Amino acid sequence: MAKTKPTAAGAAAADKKHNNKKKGKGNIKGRSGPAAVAMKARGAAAAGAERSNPFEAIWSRRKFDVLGKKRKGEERRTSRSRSDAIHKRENTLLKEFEQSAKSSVFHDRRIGERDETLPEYDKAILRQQREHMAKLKRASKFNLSDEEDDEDSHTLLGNDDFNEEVPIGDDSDEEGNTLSKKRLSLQSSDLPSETDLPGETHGHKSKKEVMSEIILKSKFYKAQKAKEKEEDEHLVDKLDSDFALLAQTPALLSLTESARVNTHKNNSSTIHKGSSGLTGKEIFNKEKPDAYDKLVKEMVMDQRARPSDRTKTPEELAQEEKERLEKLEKERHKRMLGTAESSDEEDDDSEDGDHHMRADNSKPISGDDLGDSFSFDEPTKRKKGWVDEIYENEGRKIGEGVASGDEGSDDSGEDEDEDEEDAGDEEDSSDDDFRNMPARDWEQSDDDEVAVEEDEKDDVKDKEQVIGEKVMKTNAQNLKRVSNAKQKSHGKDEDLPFVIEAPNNLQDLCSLVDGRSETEIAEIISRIRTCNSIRLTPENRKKMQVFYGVLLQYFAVLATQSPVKFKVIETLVKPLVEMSGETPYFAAICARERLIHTRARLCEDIKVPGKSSLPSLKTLLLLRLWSLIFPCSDFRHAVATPMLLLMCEYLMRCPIQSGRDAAVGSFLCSMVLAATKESKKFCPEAISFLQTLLVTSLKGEVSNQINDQFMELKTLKPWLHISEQVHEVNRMNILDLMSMDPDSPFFASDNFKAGVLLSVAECLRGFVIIHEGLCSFPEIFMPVSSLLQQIMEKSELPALLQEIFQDVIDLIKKKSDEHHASREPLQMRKQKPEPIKQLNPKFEENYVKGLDYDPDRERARLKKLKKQVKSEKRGAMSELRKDSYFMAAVKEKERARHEQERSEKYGKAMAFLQEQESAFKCGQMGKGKKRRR
Amino acid sequence: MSTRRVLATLHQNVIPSMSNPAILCDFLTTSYDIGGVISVMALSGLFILMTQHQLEYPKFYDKLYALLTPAVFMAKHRSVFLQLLDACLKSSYLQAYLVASFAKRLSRLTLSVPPAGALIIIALIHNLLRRHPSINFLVHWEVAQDDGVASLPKKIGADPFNNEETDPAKSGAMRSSLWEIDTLRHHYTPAVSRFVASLETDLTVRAKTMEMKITDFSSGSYATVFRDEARRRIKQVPLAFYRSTPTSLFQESDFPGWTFGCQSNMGAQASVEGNAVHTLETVDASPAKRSRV
Repeated sequence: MAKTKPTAAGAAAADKKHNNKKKGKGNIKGRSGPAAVAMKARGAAAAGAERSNPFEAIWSRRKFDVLGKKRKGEERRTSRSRSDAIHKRENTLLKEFEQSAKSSVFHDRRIGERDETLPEYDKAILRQQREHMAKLKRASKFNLSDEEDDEDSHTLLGNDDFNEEVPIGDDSDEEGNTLSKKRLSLQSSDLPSETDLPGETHGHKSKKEVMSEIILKSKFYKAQKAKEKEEDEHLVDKLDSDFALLAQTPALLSLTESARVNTHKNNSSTIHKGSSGLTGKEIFNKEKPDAYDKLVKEMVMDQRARPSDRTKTPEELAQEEKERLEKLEKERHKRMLGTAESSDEEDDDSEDGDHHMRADNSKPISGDDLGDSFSFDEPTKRKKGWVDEIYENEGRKIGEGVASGDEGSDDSGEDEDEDEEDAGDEEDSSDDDFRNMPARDWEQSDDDEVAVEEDEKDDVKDKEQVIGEKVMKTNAQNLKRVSNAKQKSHGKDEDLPFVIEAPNNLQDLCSLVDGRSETEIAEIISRIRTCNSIRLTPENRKKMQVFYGVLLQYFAVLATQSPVKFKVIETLVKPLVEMSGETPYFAAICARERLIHTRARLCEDIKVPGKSSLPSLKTLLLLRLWSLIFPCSDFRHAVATPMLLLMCEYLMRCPIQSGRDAAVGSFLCSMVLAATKESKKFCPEAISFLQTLLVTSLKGEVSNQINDQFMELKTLKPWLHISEQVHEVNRMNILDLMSMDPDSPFFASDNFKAGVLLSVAECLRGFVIIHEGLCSFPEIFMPVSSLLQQIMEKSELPALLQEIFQDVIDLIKKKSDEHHASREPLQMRKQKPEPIKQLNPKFEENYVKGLDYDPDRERARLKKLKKQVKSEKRGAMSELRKDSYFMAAVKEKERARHEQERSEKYGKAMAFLQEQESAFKCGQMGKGKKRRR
Repeated sequence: MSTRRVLATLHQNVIPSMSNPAILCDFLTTSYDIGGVISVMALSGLFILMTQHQLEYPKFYDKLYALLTPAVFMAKHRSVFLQLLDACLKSSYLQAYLVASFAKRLSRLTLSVPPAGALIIIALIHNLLRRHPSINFLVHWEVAQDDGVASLPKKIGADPFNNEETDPAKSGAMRSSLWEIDTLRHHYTPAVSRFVASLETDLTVRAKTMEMKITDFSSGSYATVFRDEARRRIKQVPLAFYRSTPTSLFQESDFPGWTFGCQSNMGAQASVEGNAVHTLETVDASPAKRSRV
């Protein structure tokens, strides 16, 4: 219960509590005064902020740190918390009690009095500032100088600083001191490090010394170098002598001969083995060498992997392919220009020569075609058989495609493609006059004569390589020339350019492929793809993406033309599928955008009454293309899922307005079937559409059908009602159908109707087979079956159709019977297997006392909450009790004070009375007393 | 037509400003009896009268039951209707047979409605199962655990539910099971087949489950389902794998009943048709370009 009197020093470091105490000062001042005085000395010595009650300074502290021991209430300072509680009550409860009897309250609104955290001194400053401001305001009116005031404040501030620094022993000041010291030390340490030290070093070494040192060092290095050189020479000499020795051994001889042996590559290894075995034996017979020698010899004999044997990376293959085409293009060009433009050729040649020179000087052959560079540099100097082999290898690779493992499937596909095209070309040229003879010759030479030519034409090869590089650089130029050439020679008999830049828009592509045959178009596309293969440079990716878009557009445009060039469209399928493999993301984005657009158009079309909103041929073909490119069996696919949704939306929303619509819808159903075949997904739309089609084949009694709910959506005229006996049923050609006018009489013919019914039945059969595993198979297909039965009875179907219908009906019946026999009520809820009750006692490892190990979390939570409530309640009760104690103490004090006052008064009165009485008894009426006093 | 127009605005604009809306009772009940879309539209007005103006309507649920046809899930005002349907079936005091019939009828509808409709139906059935623990046998048939004799669930075979029956009391739904919902697991829309899993949780434990908001689904359509799928971020694009790349679009083995020969002898008809198609082509070209960007 210490109440420190706020002093100037104390005020500087005073905290909240001090202020609080001050407020309750009036009450307990008398008692706390001496204590405060007593504590003053100690307070100065100990922490200023610390409470000055000596009992509070003592609190239970643990003497030893026991590892892992957890003790409660360690941090609690009982005496301090008790006094804190009392302070709190004094500030709250007591105040309220005091005010309870009063009708008015005193609010202290002086400056700074409200803020309890403000120390006394700051309040004074605030007050003075306010005063000063007021003065300034008043002074400004008269514009009197205020120097005095300024000085005053300054001195005051100075005082303030001074005062604060007076108690040196204070903690805060110590801190300040250390801080300033640190700052000082920092400065002092910084300064010398920056300025002094270098100065010192410079000072120590003079320029001369430094120079001499440098000279010494350089001399030393020179000497060392010379020494090393000498050693190297020595080593080289030694090696030479060693080599001379080694050269006479048979191992090296065989090594040098190995190249020659290589030419008979197929049987070479066996020969080697045999020979090595022989030599081994001989040696064994002669000298009995140790195992190591033998091993070394064998290893020397072993055929090493040649650089040319390395399997080529896809990039290299693509590069080679491109170079080949470029070479061919060059040749073609030369031939095309013919003798008339020989000067050009010469120019080219001279240019080539230049390039050749440059190439020889700098050897700019890229790192990835190691095999090529090797073959170009070495062969001229070395023996020839070796070179042949390499070229043969290359030729074979170009011709056949590499069957070795690490190429992707599309690579081999490309190569096959190439082969096929070549074959196709040859066929073409043999039976048709599309191609002129030189081209044909050339084609052959590519395949067969390469090896022969290479023998003599090493130089030419070199040149071609360089040409390839050149062409790569000046592709655009080349293209211009190509286009020029094309403009010069119109007509079909012109041959294809070998190097084709990827077209940037549809016009370019159209100008490229117009009037070509399918094989030629395929050839063009494959050449474009080889020339701009993504593997060559990353920039080609962009080009190929653009080209992909153009090709897709071309595909779509072709589908809208009439008559539809279906064969051309078919030729586009393969490259499109393969190119999608190269740029899958782009392909997906293309497909998606088109799907979204198609759907938007469907929405517009539906709003127009009378317009057929079922998909056009273009849409159908595109949908089919995408279902080929992307896997429809995926659970969720970026393209396949929206595509399937779109197809089903067509089936659900589009009204059947003509026989053509019925046929298109039926075809769409078969496309849905093809798309869902593998994953066996369930498409209610397709089945109900087929059902609707069946209903349309019934005349009259449409209303009582199951499908009457769709009456409002689809106009059910008897589109497919067969009126007369038809004997033969032909399969429908969708391409023919699509190109026909919806009003054409063909759609009213019974032949057509029978054909559509056939497709419907076939499609239904497919769905029945797919969905046989579905739980509600009977519910799905029984109505269909009854419908089929009805159709069979009511209309005269051709025999084939009747057969198929009966087939489907039987199939449905069989499967539904199976379902009826085996179907069980659903048990969808996942049941957790109930564990067997265990009776062995449970043990907790690392048991901690007091932790709740209840397995029922709910119960544990409840328990915890209950515990909390209990403890809170207890706390509140004790608080209330303490409150009442406190109040009782206060009242008791009050009462004691009153009692004292009363007894004092009583005493006084009694004394007065006694005095009076005594005076009365004495006979003097108080005068004597006065007199006495 | 005029009836429809009146009914479309009645519950929003007319009824709130009438002093005694009960006089509309006759009009609404007659239009509710008509059937089809008009009934669907009259339901909203009728619902207000029943809930706020103490209208008694006999055989209300029978009529409502009859309204549940596939056409409802394609109709224009389906959103309001489906919300009202959920509201009408909200009371937990409805008889179990009635609710079971509704659930079974709804599930039967999933075999012929669009994917958005299937989503709503699953949500509706979910709510029904949660409100009425007594009909949970529809999705989960409790197996008697006591003896080995009854360990196998009773085989039902043919579905005892009769979809043609107009009286929900006689539909036989109490002996049936929601096989259609199980069929939806194989639905082609991933959203639907995923959503079926929501019925797998034990809905009899009310503390752990929540009712679904029908408003979240009731405005669904092909457009919303398609948009959700098409706007999905492309994370990866798997491609179909072929041992040898297909060279033709249509394999005749995949399309029984169709041929794909190149047309050669289609004469005049094709050329007539050609002009119309050509005009379309110019329209097609521009979006294709856009799609490339």
